[in-house]
Amino acid sequence: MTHPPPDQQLIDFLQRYRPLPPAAHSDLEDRLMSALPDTATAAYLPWFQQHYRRLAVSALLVTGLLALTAVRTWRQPQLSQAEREDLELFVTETWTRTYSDFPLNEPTPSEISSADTGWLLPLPTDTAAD
Amino acid sequence: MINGIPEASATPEDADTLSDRELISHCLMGRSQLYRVLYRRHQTKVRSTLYQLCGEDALDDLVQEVFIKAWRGLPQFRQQAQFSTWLYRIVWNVASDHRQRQAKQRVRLEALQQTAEPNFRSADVMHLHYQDLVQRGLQSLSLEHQAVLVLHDLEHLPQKEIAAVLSIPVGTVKSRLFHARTAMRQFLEQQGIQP
Repeated sequence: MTHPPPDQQLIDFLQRYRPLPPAAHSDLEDRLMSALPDTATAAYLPWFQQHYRRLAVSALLVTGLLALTAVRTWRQPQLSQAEREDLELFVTETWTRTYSDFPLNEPTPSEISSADTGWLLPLPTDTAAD
Repeated sequence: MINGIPEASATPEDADTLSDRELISHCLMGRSQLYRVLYRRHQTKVRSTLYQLCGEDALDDLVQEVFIKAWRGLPQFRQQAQFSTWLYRIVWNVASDHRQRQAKQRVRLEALQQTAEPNFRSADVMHLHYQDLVQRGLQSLSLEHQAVLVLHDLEHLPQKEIAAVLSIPVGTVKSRLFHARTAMRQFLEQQGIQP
């Protein structure tokens, strides 16, 4: 009868009487899963998934600005046909009245020279004759 | 679709057929629930090894620490390597850190024996006595010798893989294994056991 080598006898003994670990706490697995940090896999996510919060905020801002512009454009006063005609009439009347209040008879050059233009230098006669 | 498997079908329940690498790929794509499958697949060996190396004290916390470190390290995990080897390496680091903390806090082995006492109530006394001897014998070894003996003789890891786990040459593994067995045999003989 052959005996196993001493090392094998020792290994068999160790394996037979190896102390077994106590059972894990019942919620260890759930504790582990809830304790996993979120950042572990972030580096491997696509770019848009890594920065989805920034993208969402930017998209929200752009959408808000567009909406604001649209609302302001929509709320600009639109004139009806009657109002537009009234406005045109008003502008025409104002324009006409402005010119009607202005003196229609402009002074002649002789009146100008005899009135308040004495202080001006006299024009050369030959040039004036031309 | 990832690795030929539709994403929607890869739930923790039906993902048992996926390989470690496929599960890691899913996890890296943000499907963290599939890490549960990896945990269930490897936790027994991790737990057992940690128990042999560190005892019962804070065992649950150490197991959790190993798997959280593994999770954090997944992006750096090289898919060419074997996940179990990589995981054992983390186990080794966690066990080493724990032993150093224990040494600083002057926690003695007697505490482990006291906490193990409830196991003696209902089972065969001699069997439990031998278990206690093996546990004390392992704890009497240096951590390096203990690790080689546990990984090779109890967890059945090949010497080449142990060398990768501990970052030492295979020759050193053989040398440590020889010295560890010799020391273990001497311890058992001192206790009146002739294995």
